Amino acid sequence: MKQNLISNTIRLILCGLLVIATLGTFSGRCWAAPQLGGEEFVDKFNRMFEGRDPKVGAEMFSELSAFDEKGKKLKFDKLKGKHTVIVFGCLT
Amino acid sequence: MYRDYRNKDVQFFYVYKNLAHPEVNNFVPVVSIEERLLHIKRAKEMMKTDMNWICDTMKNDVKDRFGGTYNGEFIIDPDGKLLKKRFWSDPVQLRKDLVEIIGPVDKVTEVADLPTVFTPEPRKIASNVMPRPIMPPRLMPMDAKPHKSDDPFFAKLRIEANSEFYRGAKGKIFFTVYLDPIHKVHWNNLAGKVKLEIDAKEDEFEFSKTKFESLDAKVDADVDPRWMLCSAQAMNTKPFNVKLTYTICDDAETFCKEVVQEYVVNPAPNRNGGTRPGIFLNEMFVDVKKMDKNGDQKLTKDELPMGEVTMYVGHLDYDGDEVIDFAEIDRFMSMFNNGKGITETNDGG
Repeated sequence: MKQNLISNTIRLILCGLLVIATLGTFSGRCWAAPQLGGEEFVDKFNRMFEGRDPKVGAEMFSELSAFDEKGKKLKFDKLKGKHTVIVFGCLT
Repeated sequence: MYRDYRNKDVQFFYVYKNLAHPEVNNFVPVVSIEERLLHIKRAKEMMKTDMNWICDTMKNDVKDRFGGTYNGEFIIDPDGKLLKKRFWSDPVQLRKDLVEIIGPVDKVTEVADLPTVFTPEPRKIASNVMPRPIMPPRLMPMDAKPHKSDDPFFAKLRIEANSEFYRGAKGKIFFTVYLDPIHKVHWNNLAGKVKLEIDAKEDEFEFSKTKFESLDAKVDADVDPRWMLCSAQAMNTKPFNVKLTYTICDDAETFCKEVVQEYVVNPAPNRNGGTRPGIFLNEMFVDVKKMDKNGDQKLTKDELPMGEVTMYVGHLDYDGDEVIDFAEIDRFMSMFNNGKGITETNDGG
């Protein structure tokens, strides 16, 4: 019973997280905090995220590569030299 | 922010990584970098922005380095060190951060200054003609890797199972076959149904059936997903194979083709698989307009119920005026089911 309760609680949290993750993108602006009462919920997740990696001060770019819009390999080290804002999400 | 700070030695990037929610905005998860690049191109057209994108690797190395967030936001200093991070992007806070780090700007760009974005373009072929099935609860996606194919992956296979299956007990496996809108093709139903065949060793898996055909579409052509369901039990963690056979025609009617493609499936949860959108929250999708108590076709704070629904419905307030009008709800719904919205919900996760 206790295990079920814990399992259901975890599920509820995960479901809530996923719905938030879904709906935020639907704002159509990509960078969009929830409105009409959702701020507290997201603040909570942001606070939880503070304790997780990567930590503030961590080296983010070393030995990391992906692709640019043309499909060319992009080494993140090349982004050094300017402040960089990176945003995930947006499409779905 | 991009408009305001791009000329102040700040570079901005969206990162394309695995998609969180298949089908939304007519995007389905892709199988190659080339297809991801096509999505980026499409996204830039929809968002009407020249902000640069980074395309993550198929292993999602960038997402992993940045904590695995789906909608995270990060500021990195010129030495590559992390200055600010958020699990969920927040434009108000990001602006405060940039003012603190870089300084204020003379003219702040407002949401109203930006072009309208993210209006999905519905397919012109028939859709919403296949009944959506009731899905088993607590589904989680599996990792299905396609074998090499001479043809593009016009259709994409998504496989989900419930927790019983992943625990090694008898559970449910749910197959969804999405047509990928970026290839601009439709099912040719005159040529037959979508077929799926499982190839697994009898002493490793037990399936209630191994050969499937999709339901009758009752139209000659359509773009709806196809669904198949079976009971299954895995006796170990070895992979099994799935063969998918389908016939498509391109929307311009220049070719039709039968395609056979195979996948190797690892029978374990795939944490990068995402979820189908919010289908467990009936109030959000089916009943949202019923919250309008005074019939003025608007939802105000006092009409929204307390609790999680209010938090979610709040996202529909696109213009931020603290009132959700029905046009905003319709706009939200247009992102699902090829513009037709969601009229039924069920479990499935």
